[in-house]
Amino acid sequence: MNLLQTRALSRHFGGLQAVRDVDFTLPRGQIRALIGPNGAGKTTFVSMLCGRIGASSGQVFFEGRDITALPAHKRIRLGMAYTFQITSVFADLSVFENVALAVQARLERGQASGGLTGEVMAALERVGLAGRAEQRADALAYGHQRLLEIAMGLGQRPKLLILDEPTQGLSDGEIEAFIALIRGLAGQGDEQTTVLLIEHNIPVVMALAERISVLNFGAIIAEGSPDEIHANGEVQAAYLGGAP
Amino acid sequence: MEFGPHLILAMLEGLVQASVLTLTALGLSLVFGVMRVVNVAHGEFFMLGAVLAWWITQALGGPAALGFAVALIGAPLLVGLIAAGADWLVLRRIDYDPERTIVATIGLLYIIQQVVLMTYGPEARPVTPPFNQRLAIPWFEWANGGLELYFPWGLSTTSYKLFVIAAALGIGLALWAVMARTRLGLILRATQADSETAQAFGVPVERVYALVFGIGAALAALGAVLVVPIQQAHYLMGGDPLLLSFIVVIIGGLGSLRGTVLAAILIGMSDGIISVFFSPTLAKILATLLVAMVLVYRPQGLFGKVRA
Amino acid sequence: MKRIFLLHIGLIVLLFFAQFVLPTYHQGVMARIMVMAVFAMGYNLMFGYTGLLSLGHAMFFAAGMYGCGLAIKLAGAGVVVALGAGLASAAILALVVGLLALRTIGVGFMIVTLMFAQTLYLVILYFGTYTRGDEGFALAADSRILAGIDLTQPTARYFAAWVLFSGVLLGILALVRSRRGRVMVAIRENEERARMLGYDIWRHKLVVVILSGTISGAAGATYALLFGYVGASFAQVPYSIFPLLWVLLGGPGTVLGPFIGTLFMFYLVDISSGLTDAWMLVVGVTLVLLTLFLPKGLLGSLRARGVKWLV
Repeated sequence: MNLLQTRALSRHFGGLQAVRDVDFTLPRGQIRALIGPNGAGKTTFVSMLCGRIGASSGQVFFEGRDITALPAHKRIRLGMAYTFQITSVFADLSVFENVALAVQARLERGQASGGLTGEVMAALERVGLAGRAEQRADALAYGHQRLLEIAMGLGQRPKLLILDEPTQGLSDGEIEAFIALIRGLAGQGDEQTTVLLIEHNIPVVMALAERISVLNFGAIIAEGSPDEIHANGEVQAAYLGGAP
Repeated sequence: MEFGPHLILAMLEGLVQASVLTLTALGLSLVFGVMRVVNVAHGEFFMLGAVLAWWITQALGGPAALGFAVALIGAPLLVGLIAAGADWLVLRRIDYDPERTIVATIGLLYIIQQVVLMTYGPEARPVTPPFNQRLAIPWFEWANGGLELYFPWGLSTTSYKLFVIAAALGIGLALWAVMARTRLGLILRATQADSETAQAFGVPVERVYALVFGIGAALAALGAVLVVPIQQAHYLMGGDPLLLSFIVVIIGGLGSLRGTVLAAILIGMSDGIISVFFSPTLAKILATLLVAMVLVYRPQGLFGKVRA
Repeated sequence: MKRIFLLHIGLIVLLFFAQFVLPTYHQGVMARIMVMAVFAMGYNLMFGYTGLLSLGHAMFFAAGMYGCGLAIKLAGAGVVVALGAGLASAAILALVVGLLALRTIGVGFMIVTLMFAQTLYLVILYFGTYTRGDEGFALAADSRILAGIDLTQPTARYFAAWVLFSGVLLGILALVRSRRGRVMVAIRENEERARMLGYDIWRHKLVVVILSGTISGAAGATYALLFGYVGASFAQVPYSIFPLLWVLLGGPGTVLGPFIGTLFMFYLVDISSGLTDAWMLVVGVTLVLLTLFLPKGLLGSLRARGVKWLV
């Protein structure tokens, strides 16, 4: 069963075609990585999925339903979560309050069982920030802020977790923990989370992804298992600067 | 007076108002275009120009034309310097943050206005125009089987008013020439387009901002000096020009000088014409609502660019 | 948590007992301050807590004032009905303004609110036959009696102002500490992030505008009742600047800030107008100094230095 699907999704900015005619399918429970050189259109594509920006043409489907015209906050409520490429937390608020805001939205919709504090601390524990709950978000080191972003994503208990370059700025140990965390998410039975990961860190991609999509100049040039992509000449050329 | 001549008179008066408004609004537009800040004290710089013109002409005495000529150069210069100083002391230190700038310029508004009240006083005082010949304007009527020219009583203008229109035209063209053709204009346009890149290219952005803020204020003051022989100088005279300039700049499109000029002519003329035939309050209500609606539904105005 | 509660209750109790201690002149001033502080608290909801800078809040104050005053003058309504009319006027205006103005952001929002306020002022002038325009009108003393209490009497007037002030203060305290309050702050801090957590930003903002406008309208209606005067000057630009000034001075985004700011400015202006006609100069200088050196206001700066119980 496909959780997410796009059909001929495109986006242009003035004369620049950032994303062109992308057909994308994401089955439930999969960990998918989206890779590609800088400027390939990854963030633009993913922003169209979660509704941050609108599509110039094409369609987006979530759980079989056409959500192309749906505003961002409604898509989030359907079960998507998005962590920003450039860390975007609530600087003046504490770590706890940041995650509380993520959890609270769900609580209001009656979609959570545990209490607010319980849910928040659970999310913080999973990223290892439980000890810093009272610290102000902007007092955290950059790497910890990224972990906070992930905690906020977890706090939403989404069906689809979209992570935009989550390991950027993390130390090796934190990256290991991150990999374990994501693996744990995907294999959680009923609460299976589908993960879409934009990443530049190839070892992370290889360790986590069940399937990889490669984007270049706004179009998908390859899709397959990690080994297949690894061996794909076109992908290597794209990264090393050969002709598209 | 019949309708035709009445309309001509209204249009002439409107053209005079539009000329002054064009200069004032250009000042506001320049500041917003280059610095991206809203200067709520703009009307007070206008008023300051008028009051300083009065002072200069009083202090100099002698023939009206001489005093006026000195005021025409001196008042805008002084106002420009004051404005540049205000920018250097205050606006620069708050980093041109949009909210804080609005608050700071509101404060500046009251400071300037009240200082003038304390020194110049609450009275309105006239300034003698340098020349003021009455010029009758002919109109047509059917007579003796054909069109004939005659001079309707009351349909006249003055040589000074025509001068105002010509002066505004000249200054507007000069401004355009500077912006489009000189190095200074290039620097200003570059700073407007991308201040960070301009800075990376060695443009002293902070000094440019002070200069622009000064020029913006000087333009308003210039408009005021031109109009003060027709109106009088009064400490509260900045309110209407501020509101009208806002209206012009928004309708014309924030940051578009061309749009500002066109909108100023449109609004200056229509304000004059509508006020002649309808209640001025109603005209103002319509104008104010129009601005609000333009901002709500077409924020880039008529000629502004949509910010991506 | 307890300290926060005690602090706010403490102020309310202090103000209650002050009426017995203050000389008559200051009783009147304090009554005025409390009503204006409510106006400022309404403004603070939008500006301090949600980050929406309106330059037209005088229109909500005036809507409440005229709704109440005209109900009494033209329809002979009783105090309660008139108050209701004032509140309703302000609320409806806030709804309409919110629906339109929230389509703009930043500078556009400021100018649109300014324009709407200016429009209301001009409309009041235009219908001068009913509103008496700039001159305004007085409300007869016998129309300002609520359940046998004559609101024109200094003590009753002070008490009425105190009731309004306390009610609004506690209401706002509850609001900002609630979940909705947390969302308001989130919108102010990082709107895009809040949107991407699933919050309907537009709806939250609209609710804030309506609440803010209604509270400001309550202040206007109460002012008309307690001080017996309705005038177009309250719809003009200075009365949109004052709440901004009071909130900025006291501390935007704090519950007590608006009151502190209003109190401070009232007495500052009181003293200055004794010295010169140009007392608005003090307003101007204060604004410039505030935005230069104390952008967080008095209480806001205290809170930033770690005094946590100033919410």
